[in-house]
Amino acid sequence: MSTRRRALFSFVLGLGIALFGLLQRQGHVLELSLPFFVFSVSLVVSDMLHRTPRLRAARLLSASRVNEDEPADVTLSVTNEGPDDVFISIRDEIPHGTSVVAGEPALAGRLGPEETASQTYTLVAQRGGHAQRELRGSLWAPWGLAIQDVTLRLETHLASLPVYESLGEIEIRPRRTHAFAGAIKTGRSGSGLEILGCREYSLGDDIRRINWRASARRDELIINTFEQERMTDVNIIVDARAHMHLQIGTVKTFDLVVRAAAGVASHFLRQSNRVGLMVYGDMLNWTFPAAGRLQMERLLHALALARPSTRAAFGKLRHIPTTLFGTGSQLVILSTLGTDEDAEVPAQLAARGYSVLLVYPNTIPLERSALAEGEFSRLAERIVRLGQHATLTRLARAGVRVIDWDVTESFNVALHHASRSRRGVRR
Amino acid sequence: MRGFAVAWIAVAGLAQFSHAAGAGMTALAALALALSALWILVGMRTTSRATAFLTGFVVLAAVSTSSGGGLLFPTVAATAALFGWDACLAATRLVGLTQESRRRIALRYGTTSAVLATASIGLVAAGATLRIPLSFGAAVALSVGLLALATTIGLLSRPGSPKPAGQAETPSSASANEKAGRHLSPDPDPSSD
Repeated sequence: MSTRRRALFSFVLGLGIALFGLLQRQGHVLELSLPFFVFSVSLVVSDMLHRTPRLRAARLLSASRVNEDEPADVTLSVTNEGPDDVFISIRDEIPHGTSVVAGEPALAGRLGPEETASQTYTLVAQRGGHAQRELRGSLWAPWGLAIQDVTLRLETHLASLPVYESLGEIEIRPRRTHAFAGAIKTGRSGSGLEILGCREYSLGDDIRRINWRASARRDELIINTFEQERMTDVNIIVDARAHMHLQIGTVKTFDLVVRAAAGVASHFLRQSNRVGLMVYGDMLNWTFPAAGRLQMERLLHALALARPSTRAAFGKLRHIPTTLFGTGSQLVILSTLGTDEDAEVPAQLAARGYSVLLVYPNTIPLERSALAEGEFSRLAERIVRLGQHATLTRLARAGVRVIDWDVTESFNVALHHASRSRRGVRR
Repeated sequence: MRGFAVAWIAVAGLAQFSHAAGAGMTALAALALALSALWILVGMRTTSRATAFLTGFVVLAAVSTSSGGGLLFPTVAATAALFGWDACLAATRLVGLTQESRRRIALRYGTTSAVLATASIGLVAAGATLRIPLSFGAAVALSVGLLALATTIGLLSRPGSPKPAGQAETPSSASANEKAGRHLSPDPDPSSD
């Protein structure tokens, strides 16, 4: 309630008492209204005499980009640039998804002319983009009880990026590569590091590639051929449909998927590939494929803002707009697939000429940990596992490379298992 | 600040209780105690509840004054209830501040409100010694005075009414962290608190 409303309400109360006194024709009751009029008038006068001070406020962040759950220091300062003393109480906005772990996000007290008060507090932010848009507070009148509410628009942004692990080898075989050198083995002879085979020397071949041991055995010149290594386009598709994810305790499978996607993106970018990202769920969040560190930042920011969504337009996986992906490029899909219709999509993409790697976040062990032991739960688990196995085997036969990832373990463990088993499906 | 509010409300309850009990109005005495206890327990958290309790106290004070038994205690009760209500409203503005900051502001606010309350009660006490016959002329003057006061407060209570000198600069649009310094401006919507 503002000062003027306080004054008005007090005046109305006083008027009510005065009217009651007049009706009762009692002077005592009339007199009872006096404190209300005094209070009301004092508030009005105090408010009129309260000159809005000249204040300068600033908010400085120790970093505008932090990793998930990494603390960031925020320094809030207010300077009185006016000639008079000021009494202030100001509180900083704490965005949803952040929490104060040290210090107080507030400033209060008397500020003399040219005096600056500052306060530092520490924020810890969940994954996402967090904007602090305003400061709210009150200016307390030097005389009387008037209070002036103030809002200062002061926008700062804090990006809390997903934490990801450095991944081991992820084997991919895209059907089309770029002309530039990279780390993707094409299976064709050319310049590279890995030996592809040997052949007879022909005129014009580089003599430094002569395999002398083989030449000595065959009594003719044999040269090594190397496997061509090229860069390619890798498009990562994160399934952000809310019904594909669950939360058990503090574990959110969507967060795990986002971290895995960040790890995959980092891995392929380190190999000089161009990496794109589509977060499929809330809206068509598409980061165009590019290479380099800047692209990693773009991808991390896109992943930081990713949220599970219930949009009906993205209800089915078959609505993925494939026109955005280059023909023959590598697709990495992170999805639990859900319905049988969804389960057909990776195979359909493979049939259209894409090289598809399906990262399947297997949540059964996580769900199992939340269920009570019993015959029925064991039976249910077995039925679900059989269904999953059938789906993943069918996809593997259709040419989709599958990484069956038990979400209770590190993604690196799943990669290790996948590299040992050709199809990637665990038995 | 909540401490001040509790103190004011307790004073209001006790003063009203003393007046009603002294005048033999047992029901009003019990009601006064119950009202102040309820206000302290459940009515301090929201503005609307505090306003409702203040209205209740005012009605109680007016009824008990009209029933006789002196003016001082009902005046003290009504005044204390009024300042208790105001302290409740002020306390909402101190949420989230440190204990030390709250204490500094509350002390200043408490001193001012105590001075004002004493002045109000003193004025009523002084007024009680005066006997002004309510003639037609005095009644008209009183009415005109009240109307003028009401008009003034009503005009000043309109949102966006001109303020005296000292208006702060309107802040510019959203700025980046690097351009962090901005001037404070009054809240454009007075109902936002």
